[in-house]
Amino acid sequence: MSKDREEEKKRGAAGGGFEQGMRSALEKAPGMAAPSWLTMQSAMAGGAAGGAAAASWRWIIGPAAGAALIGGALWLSDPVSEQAEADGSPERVDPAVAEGDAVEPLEWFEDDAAATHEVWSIEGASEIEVVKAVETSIEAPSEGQSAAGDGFSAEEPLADVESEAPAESSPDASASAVNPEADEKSEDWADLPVEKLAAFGVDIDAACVGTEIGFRMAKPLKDVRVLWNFGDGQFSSEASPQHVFDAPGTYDITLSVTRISDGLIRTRTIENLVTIHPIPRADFTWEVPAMSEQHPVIRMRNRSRDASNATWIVDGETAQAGESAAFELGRTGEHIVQLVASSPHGCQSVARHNIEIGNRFGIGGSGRFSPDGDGSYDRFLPRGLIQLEWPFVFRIEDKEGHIVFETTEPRAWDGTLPGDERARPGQTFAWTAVIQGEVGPSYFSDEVVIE
Amino acid sequence: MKPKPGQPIVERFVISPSNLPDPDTLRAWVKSAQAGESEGQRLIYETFAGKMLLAIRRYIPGEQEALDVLQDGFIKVFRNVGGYTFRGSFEGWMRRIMVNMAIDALRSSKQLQFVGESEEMLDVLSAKETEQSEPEWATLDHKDILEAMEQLTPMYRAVFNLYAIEGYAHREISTQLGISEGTSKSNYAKARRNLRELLREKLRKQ
Repeated sequence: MSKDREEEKKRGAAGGGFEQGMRSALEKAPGMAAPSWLTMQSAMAGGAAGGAAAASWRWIIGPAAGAALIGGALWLSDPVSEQAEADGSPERVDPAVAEGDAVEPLEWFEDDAAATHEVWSIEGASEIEVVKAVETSIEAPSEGQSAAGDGFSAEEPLADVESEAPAESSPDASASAVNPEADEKSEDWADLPVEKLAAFGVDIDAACVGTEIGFRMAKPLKDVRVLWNFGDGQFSSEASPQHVFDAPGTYDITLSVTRISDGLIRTRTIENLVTIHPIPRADFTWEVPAMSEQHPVIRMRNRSRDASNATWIVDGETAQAGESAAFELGRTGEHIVQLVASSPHGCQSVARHNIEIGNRFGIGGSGRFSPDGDGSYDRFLPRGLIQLEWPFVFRIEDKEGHIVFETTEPRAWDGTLPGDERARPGQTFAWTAVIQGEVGPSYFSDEVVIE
Repeated sequence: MKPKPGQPIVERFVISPSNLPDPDTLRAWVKSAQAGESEGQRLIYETFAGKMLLAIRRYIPGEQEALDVLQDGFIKVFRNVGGYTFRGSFEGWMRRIMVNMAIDALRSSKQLQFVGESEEMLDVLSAKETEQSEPEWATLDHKDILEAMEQLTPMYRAVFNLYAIEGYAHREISTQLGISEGTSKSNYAKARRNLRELLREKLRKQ
């Protein structure tokens, strides 16, 4: 192929300076004005444009502001790998613990690691069995306390605990003196099967990202320190912590209980205890087709991700959302457009834009102008755009929807059309001005007739 | 979701800088983009978007359609940036993706009408066009060229771009467009002739 190419190139060069001239002229061409990164990001976040989405760029200036705020930086990132990262993999747990503001969790973690050979292994236990065990221990907390003793090892089968001969009991004298009630319990403490000792439960085992989930021990113990490992790199040393998971996934929850008196640690993990469902990302773009009629119409395009269905709420009026929707607004002024996106698991998110919509009267645009060079009304620019402190885009389109003029400066249109043509009397052009204000975009649209 | 006071206002457009980053800087950006970082993607986008859009517009004159291709193109670029091995220029690598996307878009909108192979056209091509008064093509403004190119049919425009500007061989073009090499050559010949006429007209006006 390269030979072909060389030959052809030679031939092309021999063909004359034409191709050469074309190339060098085009090389000198500066790049075109492309949509800003934020605009692009938000458009990309909505997925590939595809053929049907030709209008997607047009008024994306509205939602881009919203997307910037909801952290559009996550676009294109792979949710699976994010989830994996967020999961409690060892590489991640260590720094997370070390970064923690409390020193305690780090110690805990070290304790835990040092004591691993002593920790009861419940890896073989299935989720259901383990959860059952939790329930059992809740119902009968005083069960299984016949044995007493400090020693336990990983080799000890769970079933043997109760039948094992009591080892020498060595409750800490000072601890029992301070707290006799706890002493009673601590006598049996070490010999409880781990699923009872470090038994725990959870308020709800399936929820959406961002939901607070409560964890509690089945049987509160005194004179112990607890450490919860939520499996997402986060820890808590509270007895009954509340935790919010930031990423979707299934999490293994681990509870470690350490007796303060002698540092004895019991650790228990329930795999896949909590399932966190992703939250859909509600997002939409909108445009207002040029309006000369009385009632402005707003047209929205659903750009939500991970949503199984969505509902539009426009000024309180609701409608099931498909790919796109159009609402007749009935009046100019401010409108509130919301899109509620729901996932198959019932997780929801809401995108909301306050959109001000006006016609030429709202922004001081004349209905006609005469670009004939006679010194009066030769140029067209709505007065409201002059000395405006907000960024804006002002755009004029012909009847076919081709953009004939566009500016982000207060620069008036003199009726020039692309290709050195000029607007002729009788022609009508649609214009729009989108102003990026402090609380959201304002949208003005109307028509101007050439005289 | 309302922009708060003090929030940076969205700029509608980015004008790419005319001077490109030095190779080391660009390399760092690409690595950043390969790591999936938004910062690298942004820098690459802001630097090259304008150039890529220009390249796309040579195939697709419609603004909205070109922007859609640009969007799809950058999605593809950032999804596949891991596959860029730092051999050959990164800009060239991106441009190739953009050009492919542009041609895909043309094809899917069924705008590529082929002018069949014809001996006559091949003759035109092989005939030596050693004109005595070759105009000063290089003095043409790029806007003039783009305008003239917009007047070509999508097929002529695509073939001309691929061959004369991007430097593809006819064999590559034929694969790309799903036409025969002969068709590529004859389309090129005709596109070239039309374009020359259009531009000659422009030069006369200058």
